[in-house]
Amino acid sequence: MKLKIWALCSLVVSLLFLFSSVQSQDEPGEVTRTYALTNVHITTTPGTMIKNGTVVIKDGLIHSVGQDVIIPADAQVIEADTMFLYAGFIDGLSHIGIPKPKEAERKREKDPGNPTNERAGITPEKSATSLLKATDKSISDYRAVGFTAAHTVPYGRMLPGQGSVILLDGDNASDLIYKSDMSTYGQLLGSQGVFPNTIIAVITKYRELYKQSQQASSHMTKYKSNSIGMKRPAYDAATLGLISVTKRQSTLFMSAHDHLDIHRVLGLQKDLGFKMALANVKNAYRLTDLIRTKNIPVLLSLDLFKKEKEKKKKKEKKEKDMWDKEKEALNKRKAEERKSIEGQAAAFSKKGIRFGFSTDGASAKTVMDNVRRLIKAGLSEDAALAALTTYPAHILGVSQTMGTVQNGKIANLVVSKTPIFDEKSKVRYVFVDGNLHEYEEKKKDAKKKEGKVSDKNKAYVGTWEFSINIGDDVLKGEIVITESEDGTLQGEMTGAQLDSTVEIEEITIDGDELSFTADAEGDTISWKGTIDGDSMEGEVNTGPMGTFPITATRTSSPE
Amino acid sequence: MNLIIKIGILILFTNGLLAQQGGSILIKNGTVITVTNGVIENADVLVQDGKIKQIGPNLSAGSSTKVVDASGQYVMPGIIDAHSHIGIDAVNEATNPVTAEVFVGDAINPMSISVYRALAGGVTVSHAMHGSANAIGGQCETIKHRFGTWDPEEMKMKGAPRTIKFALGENPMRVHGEGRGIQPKTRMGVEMVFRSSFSEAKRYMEAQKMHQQKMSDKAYKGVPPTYNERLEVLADILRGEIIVHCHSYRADEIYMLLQVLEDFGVKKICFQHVNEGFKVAPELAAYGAGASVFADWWAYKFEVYYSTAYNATILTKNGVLTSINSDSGELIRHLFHEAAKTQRYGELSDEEALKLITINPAKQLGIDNRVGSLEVGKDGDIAIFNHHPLSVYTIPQMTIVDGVVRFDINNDNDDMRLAVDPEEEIPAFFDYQNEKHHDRCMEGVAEQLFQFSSHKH
Repeated sequence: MKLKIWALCSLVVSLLFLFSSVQSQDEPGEVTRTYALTNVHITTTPGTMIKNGTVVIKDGLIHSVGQDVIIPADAQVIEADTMFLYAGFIDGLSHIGIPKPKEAERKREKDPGNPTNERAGITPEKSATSLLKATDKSISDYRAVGFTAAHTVPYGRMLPGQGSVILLDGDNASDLIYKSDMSTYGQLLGSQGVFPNTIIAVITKYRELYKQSQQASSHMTKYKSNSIGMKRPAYDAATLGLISVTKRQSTLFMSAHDHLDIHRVLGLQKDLGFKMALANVKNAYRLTDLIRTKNIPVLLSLDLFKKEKEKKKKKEKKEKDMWDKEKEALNKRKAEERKSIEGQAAAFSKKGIRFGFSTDGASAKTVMDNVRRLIKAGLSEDAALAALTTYPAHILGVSQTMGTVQNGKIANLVVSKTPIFDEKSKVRYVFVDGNLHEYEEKKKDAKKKEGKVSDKNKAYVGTWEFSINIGDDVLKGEIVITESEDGTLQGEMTGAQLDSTVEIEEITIDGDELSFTADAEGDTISWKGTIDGDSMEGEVNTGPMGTFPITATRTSSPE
Repeated sequence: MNLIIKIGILILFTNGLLAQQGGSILIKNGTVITVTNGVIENADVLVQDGKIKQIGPNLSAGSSTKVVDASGQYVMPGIIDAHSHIGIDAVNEATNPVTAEVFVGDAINPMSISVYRALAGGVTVSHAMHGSANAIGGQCETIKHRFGTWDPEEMKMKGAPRTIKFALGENPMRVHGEGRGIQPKTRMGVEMVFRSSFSEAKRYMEAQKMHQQKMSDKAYKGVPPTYNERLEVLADILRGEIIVHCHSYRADEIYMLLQVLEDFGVKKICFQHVNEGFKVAPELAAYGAGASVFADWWAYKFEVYYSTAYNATILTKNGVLTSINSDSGELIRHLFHEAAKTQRYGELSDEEALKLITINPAKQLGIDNRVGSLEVGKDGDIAIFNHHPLSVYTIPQMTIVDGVVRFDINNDNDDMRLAVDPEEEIPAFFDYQNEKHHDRCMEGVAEQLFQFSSHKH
């Protein structure tokens, strides 16, 4: 019997090969979709490694894995000598691929007690699939750090809509979809200026909507069986959109950041009885036992608090005043709290709670560093890898095709030069759905990129050392502006008393004018400068603190 | 210093674990003010597993029971505040004139430091209320000040009757009438909001009843009325399952609400603030309505210019069940001073004055069978003072909830918060804009309406 199934499978697979090879002829750009990664350390599942093995990828699937693998003749061989290969990461909950909607202008509502469902943020019927954009930057950003699939949900307030599992590669939105509308996303977030505005209204609205949805569902069933003489069921998108949750067909992924949120959503779940997963959990280490007994799927947030910057030791004052003591005590408590939060994943793991990660809110650049912080705080590398691969695959119901490096699974893989959780590990190759993405080592100095910069950007690209004059004080820092592959400008800012390097955004150029914004520890600052050769003058608006003059000099530039 | 904080945290945490079953404690040799059974000199109070077991001289308890020496001190029932907004994360859902369905019990925040501050004023129970932005606001929650627990459910006083906030006058008129041009624009409009809401709830109840009755008929093809959380709660008020607590100032309006409630058969009502209550005291007494007042606070807006510090006394002497409340995270720390003011203005006796902050608010909240006096069988909620609680020199020493010490002046460190934000800074200046204002009746309204309101209560 088993043999028969196997035979059938191979038939199907070979037929698929046939079709795809026909297809690939239509795509002249692509030479081959067969790859062989050789001499690579393969972590097939968390905790299991094949040393110096080979992985063959064919037509989007993992074809063979092992030490004695025959390399097909048409394969492009990638000598991944002593590199490390893992299953591609799966984001348990995010907005990847969905452009962030612009904040709507706040208008005074005439009757804020009775808003439309859209205005109230109650759109459980809205599909993430319908909002996807293949060119959204988040897709390539997360792919570059090893993510190959994501459970993506719409932005919004109380009930933003339905989530889909997507692959992080594709020419158009429909290429991305793996599993459409497979979950419902909920938050304890009210809408500004209308009902439900506060947490108390949001919670009561969940109760009401849930019961209305149950009513509507039973009405529809009766109506279907015999509609004669019966009032027709009303059409209400929100009520209907929640029926899959009330029938326990769709899991409600509830965003719950801290222990209070978790108590609140557990209360709702207890009252109403829906299938629930906890998402974006940041600070719930006090609830370890409760979460374990509830046996509810958990996604820990990778949006960790900022690392405390190491301050230069000031000269010790001889006598400590009252404020020093208060500060000292507070700093000690803060440090303990930080330790507990960073240690949360390890504590969960030790108690046998399995979890995945959600990247919601965290920038792609920081997520892997944050995983490393959790490991430093005691989480095992195997558990971290499971949280990035097998466990999210499990709770999203895609274990059969994703999460491990095994024959027949979708070729979602990540290859790094050194073990992926090493401090300075860099991703070298990422395969999504069998498509190769290669990452060169970044050249730190913009100078090395000389010659590659297009003429239109030459005036701006380079390293600019700047000074902001605030009264008698001067804040110094550095901006590095580079040209990306697609010819647009990108950059980073360091110094100026920032905790870490921040990305500069919304770069616009107009003749000798350069302007951009940056998120400086929660405040958006905007920069406006006029360039004259290698010098720049202008001003920076820091929001509430005011506008200050800046001067900058370019210390390295493209030839 | 740090060790002390650590020990403090440890004690609080252990207390949190004890919250469910209640603790045991023996308070020796105090002047015991029972409130309902006079004052007993040199007496002991024994609390076992959270309940008062015995009151009298020379009591003893097992060696594991904590013993507190209260020689020269005053032992009284924990103070009860019938009107506050502490320990909750949301106060006003100001988006509609009627929001009966919202429930502050869904937003309990056990980490709120205001709860600890209230304990430091001897307050063991408070009525966490919805605000006064709407004619019919949300349901309130009676909380026990079990500071130290992390579980919001443990803050709730299980078994306390359900209560709801109503509001008369300028607040709902300003928010909805002036702010949005909808009903209620006038005091007449406020009355109509009550009447039409109750009428709608009655129709809803009738429709549900009709549906239930017809269900047994096989040929019946009707569907139940669409579930409506708001009407469910209003129906519960009509059924007498919820006590109405109504924000009020003017006598004419107070009398108006009495008539509305009478028309709809609602018996359980306690007026809040009631600054003109003294004008309708006999009417309030006749209806059996309660009054929860400020000691001497008025003239903060037009409708509350006419008031008197004798209000509590006049109401009391007319047989109205009267209490004194705080409506403020600051006043709640010295409700004993507020009660004492009735001795300056009205010459109430010690017992009458203390009732205003103990057994009377307990009755108004429907929890007088459990708290509000020191009696055998009641909850072990106790406040200990170094002088008579009505003395201007008195300072609370220890506050006990369900037999567990939740405040001890000898273990009152600088930072008693349960949680710290890992990213918080000590600001160099006091940030008034972002600081929670101590009067929270209209909290959140300005933000919800995008306009700033100078009137608060």
